Amino acid sequence: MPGKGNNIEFSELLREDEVHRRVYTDEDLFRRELTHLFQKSWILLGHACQVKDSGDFILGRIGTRSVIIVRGKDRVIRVFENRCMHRGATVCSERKGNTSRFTCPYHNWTYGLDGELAGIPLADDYTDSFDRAAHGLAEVPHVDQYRGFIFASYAPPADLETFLGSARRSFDDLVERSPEQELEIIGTDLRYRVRANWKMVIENLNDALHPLYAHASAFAAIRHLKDREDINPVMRMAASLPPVEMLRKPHSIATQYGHSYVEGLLALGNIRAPRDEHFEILAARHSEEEAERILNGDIHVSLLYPSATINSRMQTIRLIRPLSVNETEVVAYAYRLVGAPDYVARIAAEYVWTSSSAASFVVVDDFEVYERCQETYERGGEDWISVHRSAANDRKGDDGNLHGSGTSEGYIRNQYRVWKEYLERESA
Amino acid sequence: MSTVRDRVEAFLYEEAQLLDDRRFRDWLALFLPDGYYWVPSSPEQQDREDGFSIINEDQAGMLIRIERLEHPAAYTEQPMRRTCRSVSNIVVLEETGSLVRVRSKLVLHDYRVCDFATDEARVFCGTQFHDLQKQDDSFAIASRRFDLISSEASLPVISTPF
Repeated sequence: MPGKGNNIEFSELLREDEVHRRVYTDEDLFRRELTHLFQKSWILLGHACQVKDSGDFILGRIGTRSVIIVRGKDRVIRVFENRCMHRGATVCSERKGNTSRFTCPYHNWTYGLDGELAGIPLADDYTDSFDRAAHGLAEVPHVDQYRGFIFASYAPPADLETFLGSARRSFDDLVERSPEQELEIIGTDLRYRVRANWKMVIENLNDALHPLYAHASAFAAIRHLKDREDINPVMRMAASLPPVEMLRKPHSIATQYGHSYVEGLLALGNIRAPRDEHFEILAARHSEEEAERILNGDIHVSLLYPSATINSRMQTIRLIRPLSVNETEVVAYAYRLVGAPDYVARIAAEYVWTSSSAASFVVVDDFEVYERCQETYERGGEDWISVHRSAANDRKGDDGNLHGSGTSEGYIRNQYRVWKEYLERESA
Repeated sequence: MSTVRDRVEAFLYEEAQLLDDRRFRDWLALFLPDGYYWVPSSPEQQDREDGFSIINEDQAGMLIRIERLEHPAAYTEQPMRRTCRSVSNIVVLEETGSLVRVRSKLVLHDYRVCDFATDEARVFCGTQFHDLQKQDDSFAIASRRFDLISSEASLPVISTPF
C-alpha cells in the first residue's frame, strides 16, 4: 500500500488524467473504500413504495454490509445492520417481506421493528453489566428520502439534497412521469456479477463512446432486423446510432459529489415522445406543455456515485454492489408509474431484461471488456490507466458542476477527485 | 412403433445437440413462427407479461441474439465457449390433440479456454417446459420455458441460449 503507515500517498495512485491500476486491485484500498466511501456517502437502497406498510422490509447493501430497510409501527423507515447483536448471525434472510419482529435462528434473540431487543432467552443470566438498550440492532444513523427514494449513511458528507446536487433531476424526471407522482415496484429484480472492481462498472455507465465499438455486434444485429414488425420497441429505438463525431454533441455533467449524467442524447437521435395515451393522461393532469416537458426530458442514464445508476425514461434502477475488490454485482429493477397506462410498465420491464439481465446482449460485451481490463490490472505491467479523453475541453460551470462533451472522460476524472476526498478524510 | 415419449426424447436430444454444435439458426427453425423462448427471473412467474425475465424472446428476439453471435465483433465469442447439455427426467405431462406438454431437466456445463482468470467451467441447470406441436414424425416448439435453479441468484453473464 503506497504511503507511510495509515496515510495513503495519493500521488502514487492518481495523476491529473491517469489512475494507477492499483485502485482496482488493492485489498487495503478496497477496505478503506468500504469504510470511508460507502459508509460515508448516501447510498441508494430503494423507494418508500417498497416498504409501504408497517412491518414491510427489504434487504439492501451498504458496501458489503447487509442492511435491513424496514418500516416501523410508527411508520418511520429505519435501516439496520442485518446482524444479531449476540454472535453476529444474520437475522433476516428473505430479500423482502413483512414481519412483526426479526428473530435470530441461533439463540432466538428477537428484535422489534424499531430495532429494540425485545426478547432474549435466559434473560436472568444477563447481569447488570449487560446493557439491553445498547443491544438493539445496530442502526444506520442517517436515513433520508428524495422523492420517496431511500438513502442511508453512517456519516454523510452533506445533507441529501446538497449531496445529490443537479443529479436530483433524474429522480424528478422519473417520478413526474407518473400522473400521480407515485411508484410501485415491478416484481423481482435481475442480478448478475462480473469479475471486476466496482469502479470499472461505474466508470463505464456514462461512457457514450464505447457502445459503437464494444456493442458493435449487438447494434449490427438490431440494424439488420429493425424493419421487422415484431421487433421489440426498445430494440427499435437502439437501431440508429449516430456517427462517432456526433457523440461529442451531447453534454456531460459531473457534480460536486461525483454524480454524472448526459443531456442531449435524445436530441441527437431526433427522438421525441409520441402523443400517446401516457401523454394524454399527463396533459389532462397538468397541461400539454407540461406533458411535453415531462416526456421529453433529455437525460439518459444518470450515475449516482458510488452506488447506482438511474434511467428515468425507463424507470430503471441499477444498484452497483461491491462483493470484493475484484467482484461486483449489479441488481436491476424498474418501477411502475402509478396512473400511467400499462404499456409503460411493460416497456420498462422489456428495457430491463434487454439491457440489464445476465443474458442481455449489451451486458455481455460490457462485462467482457471489464474482465479483460481487470485481468491486466492484476497481472501487472503498465501501471497507469488513461482517463485523458477531452481533458482540454472540460470546464467548471457557474453551477459548480464539471461540463464536458458527450464523450468526455471528465466524469471519471471527477469521480477520482471525489474518491480522494472521501479517503483523505480518514487519513487526516 | 415409437411412443410419443420416445419421439419427444429424440427431439429434446436433437435440440440440445444443435445448441452444443452452435447451429443456432437450425435451432431457431425448430420453433413455430409465433413460438417463444422464456427464462423467467423466478420460478413463481406465471406469465411473460408479469415482471422481468432473464430471457424473453420471440422470433425477432432470438434472431437478434443469433445475429449478434455470428458477428465478427462479438468479443464474448472469441474464443468461444464449449458447451455440454444433458437433458434428462423427460416426462410427457399432457397430450391434447396435436399439442404435447413436456417437462425435463437440463444441465448445461460451459467452458471457455482463454488466457484470463475467468477461464473456468460454469454450470447452469433447471427444469424445462416445452409446449410442442406435432409435425409429421417430429415436433415444432410453441414455447420453451427454462427455470434456472439460480434464476434469482447473481448470475455470470451468458450470451447463447441455454
